[in-house]
Amino acid sequence: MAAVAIHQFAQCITCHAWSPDHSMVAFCPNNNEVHIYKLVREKWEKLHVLYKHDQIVSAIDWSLRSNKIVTASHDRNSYVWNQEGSEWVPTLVILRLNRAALCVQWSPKENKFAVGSGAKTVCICYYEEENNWWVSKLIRKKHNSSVTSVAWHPNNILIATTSTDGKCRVFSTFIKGVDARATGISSSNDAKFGEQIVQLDLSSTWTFGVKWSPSGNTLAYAGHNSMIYFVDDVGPSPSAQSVAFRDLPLRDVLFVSDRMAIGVGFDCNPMVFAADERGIWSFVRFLDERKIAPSSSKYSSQFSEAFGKLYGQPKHGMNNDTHDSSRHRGGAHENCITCIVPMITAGDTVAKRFSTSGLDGKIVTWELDNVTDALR
Amino acid sequence: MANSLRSYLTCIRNTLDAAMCLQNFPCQEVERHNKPEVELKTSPELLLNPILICRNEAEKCLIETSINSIRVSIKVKQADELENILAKKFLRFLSMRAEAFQVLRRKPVQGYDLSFLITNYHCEDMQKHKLIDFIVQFMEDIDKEISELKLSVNTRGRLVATEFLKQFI
Amino acid sequence: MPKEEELMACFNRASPALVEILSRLISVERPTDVDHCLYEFGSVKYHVQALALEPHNIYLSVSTPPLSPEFLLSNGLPNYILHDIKNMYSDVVELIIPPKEGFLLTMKVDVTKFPNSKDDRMKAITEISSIQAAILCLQLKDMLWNLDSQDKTIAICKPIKLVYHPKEPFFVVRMTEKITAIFPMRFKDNSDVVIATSFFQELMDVGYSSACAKAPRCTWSPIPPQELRGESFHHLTTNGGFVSFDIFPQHVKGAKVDKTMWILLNFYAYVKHYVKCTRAFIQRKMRQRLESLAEVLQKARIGEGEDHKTLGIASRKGYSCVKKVFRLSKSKIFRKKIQTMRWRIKVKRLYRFRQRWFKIPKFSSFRKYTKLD
Repeated sequence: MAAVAIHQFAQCITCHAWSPDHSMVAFCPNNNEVHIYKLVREKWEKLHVLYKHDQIVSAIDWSLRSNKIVTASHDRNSYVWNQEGSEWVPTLVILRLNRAALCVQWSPKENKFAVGSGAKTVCICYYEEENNWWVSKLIRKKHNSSVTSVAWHPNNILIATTSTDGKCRVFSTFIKGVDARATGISSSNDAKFGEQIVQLDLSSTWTFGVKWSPSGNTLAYAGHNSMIYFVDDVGPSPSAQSVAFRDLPLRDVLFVSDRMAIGVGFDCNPMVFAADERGIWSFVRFLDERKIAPSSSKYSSQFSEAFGKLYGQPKHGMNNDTHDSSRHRGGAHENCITCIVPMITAGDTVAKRFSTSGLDGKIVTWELDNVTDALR
Repeated sequence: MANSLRSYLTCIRNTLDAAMCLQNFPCQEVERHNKPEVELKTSPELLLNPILICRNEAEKCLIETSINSIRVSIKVKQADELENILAKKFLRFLSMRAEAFQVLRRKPVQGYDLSFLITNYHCEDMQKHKLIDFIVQFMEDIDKEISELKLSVNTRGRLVATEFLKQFI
Repeated sequence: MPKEEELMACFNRASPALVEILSRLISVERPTDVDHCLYEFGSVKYHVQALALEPHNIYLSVSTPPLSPEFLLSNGLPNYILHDIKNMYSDVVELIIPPKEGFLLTMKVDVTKFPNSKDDRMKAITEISSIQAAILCLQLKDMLWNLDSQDKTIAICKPIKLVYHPKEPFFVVRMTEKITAIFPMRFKDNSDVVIATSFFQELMDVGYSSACAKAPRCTWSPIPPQELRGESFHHLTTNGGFVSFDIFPQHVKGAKVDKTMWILLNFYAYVKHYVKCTRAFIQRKMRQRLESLAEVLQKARIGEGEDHKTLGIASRKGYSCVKKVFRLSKSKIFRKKIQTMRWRIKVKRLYRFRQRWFKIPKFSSFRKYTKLD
């Protein structure tokens, strides 16, 4: 397993997203624009520049089925872009935010999307056909700090958020007239809009990169204290595992399958985490082969059912004298990785291909030949 | 002595490596603002615990971290008055030319001789390990530089003094 | 390292302005009247007058404040000083008594009596221009009386306060074996104090070395020396401590006396000049370091130096391996362009830097330093 393609698109990339067929990529080159590139005869060509925001674009999501792009920016706005002919036409979303929009994601059914913001709120946006615009409903007064990421449960109702207040929360986003009651596998479907299902207080510091596993049974998110948390049975009695690693903190997480997750962040090298037969998660190895993980770094995972218990790991306590300067050189990425995106087609349960982008301005595509291969 | 300096600098280097995990983060309190949180300190949850690394009473390094910026303040060794004024002069000289070192803060944090302010923007266009190299080398050089300056001022003084006294003969 | 001769040049006895005026008047035919009035150190006044009616004569008048309050010059210079001056310039100069209103001394310089050779003439001019220094030295010498006269009748005296520069009086204490000159040192800036103190330390240390064994012993102390007991509090408060020189008879023997007196009179100016030059020296050193320190940070920029190469190749890697060769060369051209661009910027900066730094040596050009106060 390795990087199959590396391409330098810009000096610095804040976020990126793929078109449904993965022939096009949209990214923000660390400014107020979104560039769309297409691979034409093995060469990347710039097709469009989406120019509507007036501050840095913080997040992009490209819907799988409806082929719509949603962007979120520090200018407090979101746009939904629709391809009409050869043009991308923006529709302003009335977010009713007075602070920056930080993250955005389409719901699995693509009839809603969620925007996390610096106003400590989450906007759930849905389309109103009669008015022909996107309406936003806010989840207010639940977060004590900026919302750093949002993730939709496969059931299209639950949403998980991480925040700089250190918590991870799960809310219901049931909207009458948009969501149907009948889907009920989970009892939490009955909750009304904005109701908090659970609040996870595992991290002592900021949390980032929340994701649901493909089945929706496991939730994962990263803490800035170099920890990754895996939570099963999200509901009234969740069980959580905290996995500490000796490297720099993660910024984003991606579930490859229900038993394997990839974490990316300040170490510039994706990290593989996997669950064993008993369901215990641990760090396996670095994805980029240049760096062989020392055996001692294979921390045993900590299983804790009690919430609110802080994992006691010194934040800045690296005692080794030798400075590992090789970290930033020679690998696929040369600077912090901020974004990991699956390259799946509708109906896939395993993300065999995914891509990462970061402050070095590269988008790297990775491919898993065999899921078990990564565990070796 | 040289050994203790190395471990002091290594400690700073490792701490900086861990602390310099910054990201673009817009201000939560003021609309459409994006300022170093370590300077504004408006949201306490965006700040991490400051770390103080001391080699001895006179030489220490304070590292304050926030989500989008980090402030490194150093106190330089000053053995006598001449070293003291030379250090002050030199650091002031450098601060006044802070544009040459984008990461230098124009005014040091109170109680320190020199402060660096590193934001996520610096991490975007500079390589992190080289940025850390710079700070560590800067700290190493500043000591050397001040002792060298002192030595050359003294040598010069001796020459002039000799010349002066020779006039009488 | 500074040029020590240059450092001394600013304490030329002769007034450079006077030298220039005199040499112009002497070398050029002048049909008209010339009347110059000039000030030096704020309190020394010269008046140069040449009348068309008397083409051979130049009238030079000097006024200088009294060296010591106890040594009033209200009635002009005492006779013995006039006598000494007359001796100094016997053939060219004639003293006019009484002097011009408001001046201490008026001299008539006879142009025709100047030597013909250029060097000799310059020497004579310089000597005349040193008239103020001569007066001061004679006053001081007079005050200190003949130290080598072995007159034991005078016991330790009260210190004599001397005012050469109005704000910086110093004291001379006459004792049986020696005289002690004590300088209370005051500086505007704390950093000046430190620089000067380190210099005094060197003066003391050097004084003990064999090379300067014959020079007057120099001592520095932060508190007033015993000899100044009883002086007004105002004179005893300093931030730079007190420097004293013990002058023994061998330092004022014969021709040496003038020089010694002159050095003592200018000690303040000397120290101040040293401090100023040292500050410039430090500044220069710091500026040199700035460049090399900034360079390290410059190297941290992404795409700088060796890292650029890996970046360049890595960025072209990826989907196409077939076109690699072609693209690589393209990237090389691009890189070259960047490098030349950068070089130009660097040159510009260097040029600016150089300009700034070449200005400094001018500081020690001596004319600028005649006004040390």
